[in-house]
Amino acid sequence: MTEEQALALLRERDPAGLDWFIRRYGAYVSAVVWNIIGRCMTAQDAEEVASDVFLALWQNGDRPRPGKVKGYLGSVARNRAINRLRDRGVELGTEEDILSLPADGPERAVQRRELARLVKEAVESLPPPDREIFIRYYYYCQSAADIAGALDLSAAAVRKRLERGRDRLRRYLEERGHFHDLSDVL
Amino acid sequence: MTYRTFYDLMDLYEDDGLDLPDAHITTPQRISRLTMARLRPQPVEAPPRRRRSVKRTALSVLAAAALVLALSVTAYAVYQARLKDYLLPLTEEADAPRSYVSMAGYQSTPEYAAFLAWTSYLASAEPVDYEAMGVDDSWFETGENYAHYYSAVTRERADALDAIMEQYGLVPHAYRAMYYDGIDQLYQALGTAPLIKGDLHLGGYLYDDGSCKIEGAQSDGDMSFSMFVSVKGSFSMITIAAPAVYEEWTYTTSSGQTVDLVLDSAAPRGFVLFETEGASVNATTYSSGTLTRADLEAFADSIDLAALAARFDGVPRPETAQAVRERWAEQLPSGTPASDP
Repeated sequence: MTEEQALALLRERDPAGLDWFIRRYGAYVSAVVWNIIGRCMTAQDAEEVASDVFLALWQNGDRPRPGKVKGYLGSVARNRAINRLRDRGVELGTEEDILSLPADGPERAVQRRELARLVKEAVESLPPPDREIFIRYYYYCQSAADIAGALDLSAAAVRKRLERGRDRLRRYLEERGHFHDLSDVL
Repeated sequence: MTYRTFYDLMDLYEDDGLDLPDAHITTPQRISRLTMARLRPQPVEAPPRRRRSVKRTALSVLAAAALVLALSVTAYAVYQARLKDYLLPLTEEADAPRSYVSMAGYQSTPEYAAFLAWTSYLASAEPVDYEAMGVDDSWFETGENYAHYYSAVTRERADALDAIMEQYGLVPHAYRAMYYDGIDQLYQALGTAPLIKGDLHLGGYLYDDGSCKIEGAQSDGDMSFSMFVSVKGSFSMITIAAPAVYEEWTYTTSSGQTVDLVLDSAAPRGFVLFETEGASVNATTYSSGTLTRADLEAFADSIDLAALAARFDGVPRPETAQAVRERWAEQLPSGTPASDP
C-alpha cells in the first residue's frame, strides 16, 4: 500500500489506514516522544502519548498531504509530549534558551505562517552539521551528549555550535523585525 | 502566543528528514492495539434507577452515618503526611537539579524506600544493548510490566526487582486498563461511584490492584485535575515534579476529613495529599488562570474522601506483603509516622 492509499483509507474512516501509518511510523513517533518525556516518565506514559498522536491523525486524516505525514506526526508527537511534561510541571529549556517574539495580533494566522516560513528559512540557512544539531536539540529535544554520540562530536563542540545557531537565528529574525528581548518580562 | 524559548519557536517547524534510532520502549503493534481499542469505546448502560422506600432510605442514612463514624476513626489513625515527606532526593537533570514528589508513599514507608532502591539500582546497572539483544514484539508480551513499567528488561534486572519487592513486601502492578473513552467503565471496574465531583471526567487508567489515575475538568471553570491513587503494598513508580516554592496548610474538608494542601507559588497548580489506611492519594489541580487557596480548598471538598477510604481500606493484600510490612513497621523507632499497617 502507498501513503496515498493509506490516506484515502483514513479519510474513509477505515482503521486499516491508521494501522498502516502506525506500523510505518510507530517507532519514529515513540522515539520523538521518548526523547522529550523519557527523563521523568515511564515507557507506558510514552506509549500513551504515542497512541494520542495516532488518534490525532485519525481525527485529522484529511489534513496531512501525501509525503508529509511523517512531518505531521513528528510535530504532533513533539507537541503532545511537551504538553504532557507541562502537565507534570516540567518546562524545557534554561536561561540561554529564552527568546521572545511579539504576541499574536489580529492577523494571528498570517503572522504565524510568516513566522513559520522565517523559522524554516533561518534553520535551513544554518551550515551542516549545525543545522542537524539545532534540529536535534530544539525540535527533537535530544541532549547535547546524545547528539554528540550520534554525530561523533564532543559535547563541548555540540554546545558551541548550538550557541552559534541561536545567535544566527536571533539575528535572522531580528533583522526581519520579529525579535524582542525578554529581559523586561522576566 | 509568545515564544519564550527556542523550543517554543520550533513549534513552528516541521521536520521529516531525520531518522531517529528506535527507543525500544514499545512496538508499533502495541501502539496499534492500544489505539484501535480507543477507536471503539464500549458504551456503558447506566444502571436503572429504582424508587427507594422511606424505611430503606432511613436505614441507609443510619448505615452511612455508622460508616462515616468508622471511617473517621480510621482516618485519625493514619498519619497525615506533608509535602516534604513525599519529596524524593534531588536528581541531576539537564542543567539543574530537580525534585520530584513520590506518588507511591511518603518517607519511611516501604513504597518510598523501594522506589529509591530500584531507581538507585537502575542508575548503576549495566546499560542494556537492545540491538544486540534482538528485542522483538515477544519481549513486551511477556512479563508485561517488568520490562515496560519498571524497565526490568533483563533477567538480572528482573531478579533485582523481585529482591527489592520481596525486601519491602510489595507486589508489582500486573496490568493496566485504559479508560480514555469511558470513565464510567473505570468507576464500574473500580466498584465505586465517581470519586471527584466534576461534570467532565476525561478518562484514566486502572491497574489490577485498584491503583488508578483519573483525569478531568470542571466545565464551569478553567480548572482541570489528575488524581493518582496508589494502593499500599503495590510497587508504584509514579512521580510528579515538585514545586520549588509553595504554601502549605492542613484543611478540614466539608465532609470532616483532614487533608494536606499545597499551593505552588510559581505556577497555578495545587496538590491535595491524603492518606487512607489502604491508599496514598495525590490529587493535583491545574488552572489556566489563577489558583487561590479557596479554589484549592473547594477542589479538596469535591473529592469523595469517604468513598476513597471505603474502597481501598481493609482490602486484603497478599499475605507475604502484609507480613513484611508488619516487620517493617516493628523495626521503626516508636513515634515514627510510618507505622501505618
